[in-house]
Amino acid sequence: MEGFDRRKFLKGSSVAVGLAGAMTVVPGAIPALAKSTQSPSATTASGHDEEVGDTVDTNEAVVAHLRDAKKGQIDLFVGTRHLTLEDKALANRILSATR
Amino acid sequence: MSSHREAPEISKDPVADSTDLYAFVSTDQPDTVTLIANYIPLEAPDGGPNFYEFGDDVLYEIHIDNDGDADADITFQFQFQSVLNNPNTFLYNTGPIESLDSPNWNKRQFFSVAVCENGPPRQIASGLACPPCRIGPLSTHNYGDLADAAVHELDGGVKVFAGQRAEGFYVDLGAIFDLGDLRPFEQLHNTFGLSLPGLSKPAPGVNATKNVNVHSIAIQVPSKFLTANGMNPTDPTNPLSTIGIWTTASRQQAQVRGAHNASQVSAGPFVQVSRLGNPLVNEVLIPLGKKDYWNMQQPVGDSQFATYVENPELAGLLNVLYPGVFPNLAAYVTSGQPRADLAAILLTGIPPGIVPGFQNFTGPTQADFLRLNMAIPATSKPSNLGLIGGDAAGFPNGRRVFDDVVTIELRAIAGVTLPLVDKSYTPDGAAGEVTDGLTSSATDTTADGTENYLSSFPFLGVPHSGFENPAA
Repeated sequence: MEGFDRRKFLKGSSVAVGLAGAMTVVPGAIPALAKSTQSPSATTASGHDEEVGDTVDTNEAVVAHLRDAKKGQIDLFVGTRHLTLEDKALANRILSATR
Repeated sequence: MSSHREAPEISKDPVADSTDLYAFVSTDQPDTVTLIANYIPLEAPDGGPNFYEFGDDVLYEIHIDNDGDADADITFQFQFQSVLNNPNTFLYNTGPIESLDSPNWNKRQFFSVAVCENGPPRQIASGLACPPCRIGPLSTHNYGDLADAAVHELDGGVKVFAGQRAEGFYVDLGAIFDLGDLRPFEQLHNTFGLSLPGLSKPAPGVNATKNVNVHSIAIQVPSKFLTANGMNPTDPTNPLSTIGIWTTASRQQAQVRGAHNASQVSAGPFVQVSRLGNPLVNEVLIPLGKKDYWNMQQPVGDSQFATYVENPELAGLLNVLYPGVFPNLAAYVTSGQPRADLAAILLTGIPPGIVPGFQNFTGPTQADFLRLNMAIPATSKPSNLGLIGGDAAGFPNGRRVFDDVVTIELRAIAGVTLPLVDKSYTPDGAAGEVTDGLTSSATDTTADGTENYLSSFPFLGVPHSGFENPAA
């Protein structure tokens, strides 16, 4: 324990450890937690509501949920984020496409 | 069980189902604490060809509250990634697995560890190998060495392990859920008027979790990492010596099945689907209609469930199931007085002055989590009854792998701990004797099927082998 720096540990400056083979097998395969914008315990069912911006990574899967067609409320699930938009016209177009 | 399949929704999602949580001062490194969160209940050792593994799409967490506000101050996050080397075989392994990088091992899993301290997660390790499941003498013949190689040492004396282990929890599940028919006391059960062979004589308990496996996430951390002041906890009376511990599993909110090439798409924030602090709370105390909801809540909001702890359904049932055996308990239940002893043990910790020389009080905020006074040293002569057995190093001061939590909680609910808060109450004679009958004495730390606990990290024994279980 000598020389141990608690802050260093908790701030994550320690190196990745593991089998060399494992490190070469899965480069980048472990989910990049640093990309997450959620808080560590962002665990309530409601998630986080955010305004839709222009920061969406188009390589990520996007799941849309038409929550309330009358109000035009659409939930978007992107990466580890939950965004909400209100767009009655888009909601109507989605509904029309299902008929 | 402790928390195996304890709620309707999570019982359908085994890889996210927390089964047991342990937290104790390490016997192999006394200045460290070992935290173990188990997932995936009741693994049949021979369950191939797709042997058990953690969920790649599950966020596993172990949380620490070190300032008594019931919010997480430190969170360890674990995420997994499976790697399939050869998709053109149905086999988990194509020959003996001699090492963790064996080319014969086809389906491997790796994990990352991140730490949150009142902020975003920061990854401290990645690409850590899990051991294989223990398949049998041909596939995993040198299993101890394989598992030892999967104990990873990080900076600062931190150790971490994630993989299959032998189930360490023991319970006579068949008896308990057959209308509380505890085998050692069958002759006292009301049997609902049924006169069936075998129901009239005392019998030893049967360990329902004998010879099954689980998946464990274990981390050993220097105690000073976990305290609010960064100091080694040495004074049991110092409130900063006590931490709260709970584990959660979360899934992303949206999932689309069969999206592309039969794969699954997950998106959105992680939402909590499983939670575990004290054993048996959601299992036994929380009613069926609230169990899924309880799993999604944070400990800081647990005052909403306090009535189920303070007025446990089981306390009222004991005198019905065992007529005349618990008269004092029955009178107390009839009085409607809340069980302040259970609330203290499970929701706030035991304040100073209740048990001489001991406290694990975390403040008035009611929250279900294990509470560990890290200044209480481990003992070489433990009682599986923990604190009620005179051993302050055991449950409910944290929880060790061998603690007989079923007996402890049965006795607590039966009234044996009521005098801690009500000196006028005299426990029924049976309250101090009730058990599901899986240990021979308080010093028996090897219930049937749990004989293989380890004396060092990760403490839970090597998994049961698929070739040998079930036995020929």
